[in-house]
Amino acid sequence: MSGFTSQPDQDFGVRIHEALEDAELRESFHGAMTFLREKRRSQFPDPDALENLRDSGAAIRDRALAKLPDLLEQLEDRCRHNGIQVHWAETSDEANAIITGLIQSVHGQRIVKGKSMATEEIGLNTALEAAGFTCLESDMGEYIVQQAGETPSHIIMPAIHRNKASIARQFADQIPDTPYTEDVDELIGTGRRVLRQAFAHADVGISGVNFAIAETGTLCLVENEGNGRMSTTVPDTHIAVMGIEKVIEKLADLPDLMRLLPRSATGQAITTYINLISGPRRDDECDGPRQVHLVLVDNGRSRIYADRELRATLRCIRCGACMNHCPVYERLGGHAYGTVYPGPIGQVVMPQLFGLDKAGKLTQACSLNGACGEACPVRIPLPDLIRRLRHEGVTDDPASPVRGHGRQRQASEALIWRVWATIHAHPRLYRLVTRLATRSRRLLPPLPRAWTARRARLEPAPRSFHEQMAQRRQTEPRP
Amino acid sequence: MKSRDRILARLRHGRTASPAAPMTPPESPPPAVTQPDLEPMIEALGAAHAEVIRIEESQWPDRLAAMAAERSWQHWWVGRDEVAQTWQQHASAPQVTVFDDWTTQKDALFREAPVALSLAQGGIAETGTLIVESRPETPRTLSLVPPVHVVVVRERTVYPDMAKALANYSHSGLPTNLIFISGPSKTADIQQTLAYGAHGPKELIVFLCR
Amino acid sequence: MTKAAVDRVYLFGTCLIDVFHPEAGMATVRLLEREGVEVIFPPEQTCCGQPPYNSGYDDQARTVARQVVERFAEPIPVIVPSGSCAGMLRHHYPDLLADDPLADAARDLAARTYELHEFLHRILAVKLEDHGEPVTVVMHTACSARREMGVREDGLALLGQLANVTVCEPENAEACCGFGGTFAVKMPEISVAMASDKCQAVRASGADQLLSSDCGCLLNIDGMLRKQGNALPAHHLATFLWERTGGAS
Repeated sequence: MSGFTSQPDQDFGVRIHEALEDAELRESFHGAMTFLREKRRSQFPDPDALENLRDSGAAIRDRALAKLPDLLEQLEDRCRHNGIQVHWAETSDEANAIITGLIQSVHGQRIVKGKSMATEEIGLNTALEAAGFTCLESDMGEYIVQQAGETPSHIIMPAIHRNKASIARQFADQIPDTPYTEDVDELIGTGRRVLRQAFAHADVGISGVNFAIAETGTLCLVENEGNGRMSTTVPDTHIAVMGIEKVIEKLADLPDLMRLLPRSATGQAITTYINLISGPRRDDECDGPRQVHLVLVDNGRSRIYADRELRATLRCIRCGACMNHCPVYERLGGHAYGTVYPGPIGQVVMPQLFGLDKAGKLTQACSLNGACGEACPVRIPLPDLIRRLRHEGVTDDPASPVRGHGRQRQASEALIWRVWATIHAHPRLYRLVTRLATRSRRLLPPLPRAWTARRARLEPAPRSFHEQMAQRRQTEPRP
Repeated sequence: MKSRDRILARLRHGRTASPAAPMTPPESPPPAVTQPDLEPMIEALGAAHAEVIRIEESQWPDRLAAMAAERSWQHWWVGRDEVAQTWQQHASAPQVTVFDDWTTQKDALFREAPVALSLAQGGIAETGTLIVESRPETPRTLSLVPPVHVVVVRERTVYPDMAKALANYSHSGLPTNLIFISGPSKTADIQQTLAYGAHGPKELIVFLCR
Repeated sequence: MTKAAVDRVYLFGTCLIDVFHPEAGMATVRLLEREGVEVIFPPEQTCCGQPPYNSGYDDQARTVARQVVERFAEPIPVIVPSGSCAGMLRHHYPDLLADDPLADAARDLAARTYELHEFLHRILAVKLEDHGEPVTVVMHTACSARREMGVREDGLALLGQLANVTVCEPENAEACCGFGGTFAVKMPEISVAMASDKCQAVRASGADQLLSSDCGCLLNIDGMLRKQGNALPAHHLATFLWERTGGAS
């Protein structure tokens, strides 16, 4: 139940039910989300400064998006000038084929990967396996999850659904000569030992990209562990994979984004490493990769880009703050969504990538409480976008820009809203209905069991406010 | 038509069909002080589990020799930078491996290099960050592979914030690899419990030199 | 806007108050009238249109929204005793009606829409005198009141004026109670999980009464507490403010 699916709507209800029934999982997520929210809060003590910084972050990302095609061309040009080879992929399949081809061209055998959501999105590991390659995840969380045959449940903390006892069992079972221990330092030591071997012998390293700087042709990678540096420094070939939206215009845009990203993500003032790569090893340098490749992946982004409102989706810097603040994500955990990107940003991205017919139901798992929008460091109006996608899910407008539009429309619900609108657009009818409701309080058809299963019946008041005001107008002249 | 051209064409068409309302960027923040206060740097590095020693530049080799004796650091991996040369000539006659050949030395680097010593090109006071450039005399893996990394950084190369540090590179151009290091390697991937030395150095010792 | 400039306001009563908590509507009228403000309650009003809007049925929402814009046309403040309905008028009508002939009118309406407690506190600057016995209340601020309208402090400030009232908020006060309008019916299991946590926090506060300025949250939390046989008196904030201050002028 922890796999990604291209049809997240299928069995979404089942996954929700299972997640809510899993007390250990709920405990894990409640603890982790509370911890992350507190840490973030402590990093932004001054609310005005935070709002200014969010303005700046949003403006930087918006400016980049406004110039996106030009910046991509500039990035390509600067990268080539720096010796980085640039490849373009319209789809996941094309991206996977490019990467597989690159590995084959250098006769790659041992492949390590730094944490990358873009490669999760395109399903790279599966594609490489099909081509006969094994790609080892080197981020500690990703390593744990990969070894267990699972998928990440959070975009920043992939193994957040696991507690140390279960990881201790896994290591003892699966790694030779490893005694069971719940000591986290020892567990990390075990991971370090295994992965060091892999780094030392890897010939291809694959990574994601946090930002690419068009002005200088630079790839920026942000991390704490050093596995990203290992993967991009030690193997002879480095392949970086990035969504086309991650380009920014100038080096000077980076500092504000760096003030926002780690603080929003993990509540750190800064990550241990910020790795700026502007080319392969030069002839006079001792180490570093001989080849650096950048694979630019569209995979539906240019379609999202075509709508002015939905374009804000592409501002995302993948910090995970929206999920850390989402009361639904906190209770379900990441796997219930069945998607690479879970939580609010996933509810916005996935229906646009897969189509509303396959992932539109995800948008229902939201109470529109606004916590995600308030947390987003680049001011993506996530609640507005979720509401918009609900609309596209039920619209019969053929000009809708989202694939699978209208496919969430159910005749029964559409009828309910038509009747509702008729009643509420005719005040006399509305007053008749509310009068009936208040007069026949005990005779009302029971509300959906969805409400009454765990709540008392709704009981209308004996006389509506409208009635009381009408009577007041007659008997109690206004002062 | 290639994928590249199709992607760019779609983006250009989308932009024309649905132009964005321009967003007003906020007023630029007030300029940071030019003479950085080093206290935040020391505090931040300390909070990130690094050890910071503030010292006269001429004094660091003696102090390092004393630390080496205390902590049984016997075998040093260095590049060809100034601090490497200074250290090699130190009276304590440390055992030093000069790391300058990847092909022949890579296995040994991973297997047996216990301590690395290098010069950082600068620092960032606000976040407690070391600026490390890949250079012919400074291999990038030196700051990554050995479990202990000793860094010498000069106070006069410390910038107040990242914006100032990067502005410098906007003029001079970036090295193939520019690394900002703000502590030893760490992870909290197991139950949000912080552990150091995930993949990179477990210990980071910084000589901040006047 | 200053207090002196306000002598007449519209009241947008909301459909939930109309049917389930009319006493909150009456309290709203009296609180405003006590300040010397004439309250105009257009009898032709129904609902703000939020339920279909949040469900994606924009056309149906627009049908209803147009009528609100037309029926609250005079250039006087519109007072709404609910953060979420106020948010609908202030923040969503301009978008919903952006391409409508009423677009300008919708923007005008948005600019003069106030949540009740925001209006009492910031514009009328009311001074409340407490006539009640000592009591501890737990205040649940709706997400829309907290985030969309930014009026959490207004409700708390008004309560703070009541000398005999001790006010607390539930633990994780900023967490959604799981109501979310149609969300409670469309995603019942998630909604119940959220509501259960909120009920537990409300109970753990040890307060004697539960207050909220939004009827949706109140129906949700109170409904679950009553089903659990664990209810405590639950009131709309306006009702409580009016009753505590003795209703006298």
